[in-house]
Amino acid sequence: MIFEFIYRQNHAPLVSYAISALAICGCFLFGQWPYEQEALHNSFGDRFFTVIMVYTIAVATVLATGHAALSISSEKEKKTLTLLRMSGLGPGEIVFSKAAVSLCFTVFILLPAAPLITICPFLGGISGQAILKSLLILFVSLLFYISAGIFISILFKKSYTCIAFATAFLLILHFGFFIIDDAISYASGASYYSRHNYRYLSAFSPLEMWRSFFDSIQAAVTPNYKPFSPESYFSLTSGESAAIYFGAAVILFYSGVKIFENYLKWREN
Amino acid sequence: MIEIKNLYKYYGNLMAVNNLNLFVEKGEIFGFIGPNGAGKSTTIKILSTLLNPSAGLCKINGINVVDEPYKVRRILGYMPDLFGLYEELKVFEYLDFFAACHKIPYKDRNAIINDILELTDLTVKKDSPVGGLSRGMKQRLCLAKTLIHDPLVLVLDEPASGLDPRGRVEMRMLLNELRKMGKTIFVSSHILTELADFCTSVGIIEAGRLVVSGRIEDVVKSQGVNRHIKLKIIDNVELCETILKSTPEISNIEAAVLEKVFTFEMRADDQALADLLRHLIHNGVQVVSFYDKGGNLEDIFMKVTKGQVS
Repeated sequence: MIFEFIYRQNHAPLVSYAISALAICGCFLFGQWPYEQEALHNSFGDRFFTVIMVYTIAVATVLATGHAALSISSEKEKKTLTLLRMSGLGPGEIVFSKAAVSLCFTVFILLPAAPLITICPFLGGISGQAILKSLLILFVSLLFYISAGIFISILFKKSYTCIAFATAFLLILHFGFFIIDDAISYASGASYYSRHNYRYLSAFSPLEMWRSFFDSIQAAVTPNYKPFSPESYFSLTSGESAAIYFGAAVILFYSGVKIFENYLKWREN
Repeated sequence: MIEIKNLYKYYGNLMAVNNLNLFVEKGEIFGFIGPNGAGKSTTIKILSTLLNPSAGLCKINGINVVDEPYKVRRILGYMPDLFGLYEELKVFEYLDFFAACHKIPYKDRNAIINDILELTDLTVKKDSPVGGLSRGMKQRLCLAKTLIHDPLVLVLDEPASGLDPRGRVEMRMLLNELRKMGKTIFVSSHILTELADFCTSVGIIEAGRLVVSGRIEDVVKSQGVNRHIKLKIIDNVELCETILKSTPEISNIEAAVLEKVFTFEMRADDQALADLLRHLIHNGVQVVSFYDKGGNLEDIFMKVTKGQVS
């Protein structure tokens, strides 16, 4: 059923350039990808990789959340959700199919970055392992953003409301925790300049997760590298953060499926 | 097939459905009539498992719509009054998508879709984009989608609303065809003449309350409403007029002398109508047609409703 949803979205134009991107990656990877740290002979590749990944993460974050936030609300607006609900599909099938469509859409959009990322190990400064780890974290992040978008999409009827809430969600998730931390620091007597020395909730921000990841890359190639590490109540590695986001995605998907039918019936009241 | 017992639905303080009781037999076409805001769509949404009732019982083929909504959806085809379509898909793709949703095996889909396209007279539009169809065709396409899993019960909310006269006639013919196929059809409308032609039983709802229901003949009889008869003859206009005027149950006689057509109202059952026809023929009136127009629903509707809303 998930395939049917993806197929009906008519991704054909995207598929063609996705295949091209994969072909280019294939050429780079043809038995040549430096996989271990010893391949790192200078530090251009890691900087290049950081720039590409930052753009990729930014695009992925906005696209995945936005697309997912519109997925069910647009069906409500077009009055096709009733037909879908009556078509014998369970809430789980509808939610996961919509999530799969958003995931495919985002991945297709991001694929042109793949050749650029693939070339990084050849430029030095970053290993294939680190790249694979970053892609895994990105994938988990995508699942989280999509689950959040779908959840928002279930809750609200109008597309513009969903987009507004999705934007607010992203801003709060990424920057809200820092503001809260600053507020707590000020409240506990810290000066303006020392307010960043204490971390409370900001450890859960995706920005912190990626900072932690990029720090680990730098630490691997820079002798005596000392990353900025403020005192934190929650000290999380990028892997641990990703695991938390994965858990949150599972909870959001599960909640979305659970409330789907009853919430829509309740909204009808 | 459809059973509704003591059904209540509140929207906040507003009582949309008030102690509704209904029973629709298998193979019937039940016309659910009521003015706007009477509670028709609410009842239909409850029947279609899209809305939970505040109280009461609703069963389709013995399955409770609240307890087992997914089971109900497998045997029920629901066509909403306002519906959307995936306009970017072609007609065949659209039906294929919903066939897949209903888990119809891939190998069977082609044949099923072709049959339904033929039934709904959309075969020529098979490869047309849905967005390019006329309103009537979209309505038929939605009905085709509703039929794709061969449901036992069809619940249609204002299926002919917004259609031109030709579209209405086609929709009526299609529903008659479905009735012949043994489907139980629950259809709502506020266009009474439309329902009178093909419904076997009706229910009239006003302000959330069912004011009258039953088989059309029984309802007509119970409400003491006149039957509208159209009579066409070849000759003996004066004699015919005399006979009609001398029959006490007949009223409102209108004669079109040139066309030799009489229309009149008669408070009578089927036997009395047959007796009148035999009496006319026996007296030498050459009858071409004797037609019970059945347009009584309007009279019944006006008689039993008071123009209230929930």
